[in-house]
Amino acid sequence: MNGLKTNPQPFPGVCFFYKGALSTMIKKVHILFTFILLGMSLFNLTVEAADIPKGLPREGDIISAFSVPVPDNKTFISYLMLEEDGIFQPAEMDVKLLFIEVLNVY
Amino acid sequence: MRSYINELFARIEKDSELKNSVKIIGIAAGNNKGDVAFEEKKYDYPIVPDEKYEFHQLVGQPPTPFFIFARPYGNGRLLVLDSFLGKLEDTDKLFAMVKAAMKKSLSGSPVTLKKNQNDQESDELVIPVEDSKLVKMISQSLAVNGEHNDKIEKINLKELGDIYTLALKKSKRRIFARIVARKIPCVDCHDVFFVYSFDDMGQFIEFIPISISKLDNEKWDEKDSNKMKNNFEGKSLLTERHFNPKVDAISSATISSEVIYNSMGETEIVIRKLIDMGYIKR
Repeated sequence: MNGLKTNPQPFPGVCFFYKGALSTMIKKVHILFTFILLGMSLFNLTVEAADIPKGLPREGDIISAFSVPVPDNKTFISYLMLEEDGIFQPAEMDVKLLFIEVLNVY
Repeated sequence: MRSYINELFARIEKDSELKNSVKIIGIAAGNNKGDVAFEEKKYDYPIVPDEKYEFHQLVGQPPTPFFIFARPYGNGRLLVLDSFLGKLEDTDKLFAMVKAAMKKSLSGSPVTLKKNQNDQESDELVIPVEDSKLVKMISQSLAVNGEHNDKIEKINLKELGDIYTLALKKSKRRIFARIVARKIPCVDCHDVFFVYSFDDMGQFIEFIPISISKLDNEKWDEKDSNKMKNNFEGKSLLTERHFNPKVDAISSATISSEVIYNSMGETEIVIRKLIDMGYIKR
């Protein structure tokens, strides 16, 4: 055994201490996560109900006349009840409600 | 990822009461016909290109996605009944909003019409650098082959922004620097600010970013700026240039790159105004 080095065995009391500290830590982490999740859900609610930034259209605003290209796709042309190619004014369509999504396809 | 509006579309189409009265349309800010055609399979409802950001600017340059419920209001105009910003992936909630907007559209009464849209507070972008730094950038963009002239003149072109100009004595040319501040049609993107310069023939000279970010708010580095500059180097800004995201975009900044191309594309209108104002003689 002379000259042979082994890792020292930890004292059993230290193990208990580690175990106890670990379970307290897990509880704390649980509480912390609960708070984070609560915070996140509140944040999400705020995002959904976010105020419309200044300058963007909101209830009661009028959007001036505009035109957009007629889609290339025949299904969409018939869906929008359009007849001609070229451009069209969505506001001139015979509908009660238009739901417009402003997006960027990238 | 796109399914929630597709789901709403399907639900409206199944509803005999709503089917012919409600239409969904996507307006793709900054995208051209090709971009839209390439992505068309993802959408069950029509998407139309707004390549020159005309509609996007008309509605105040919103981040995207931005949704508007509206009804025809005569003379090609729309009356907004409701609007919201950002994704709302709860189809039940969306469908309820459609029904509520439809009710408003039919009754007409709950809408309080604003008297004058100009009464709205303006939401102008503020250039995020100190004046001294901006002046330095303008001078840098107007320095051509070491030719300098201290007399820099400022011209305000209203919606086209501020232009700075100087006349070069040696070459008898006049050069212009335009400051661009633009909102980006993307919810996670930051506004774009840059200076670019051109001569009286519309030839590109310089591109200097003031503040442009990539994904995760990482600022453009020198390599990014140089790539964008190289895209225009030796070219005329009067030639219509279609943005090709695969070739022209800075990595992780596709929409910002597209907005830069669109802004540079306005140079022809800028030059026309400068001719009218007598700064450029033809």
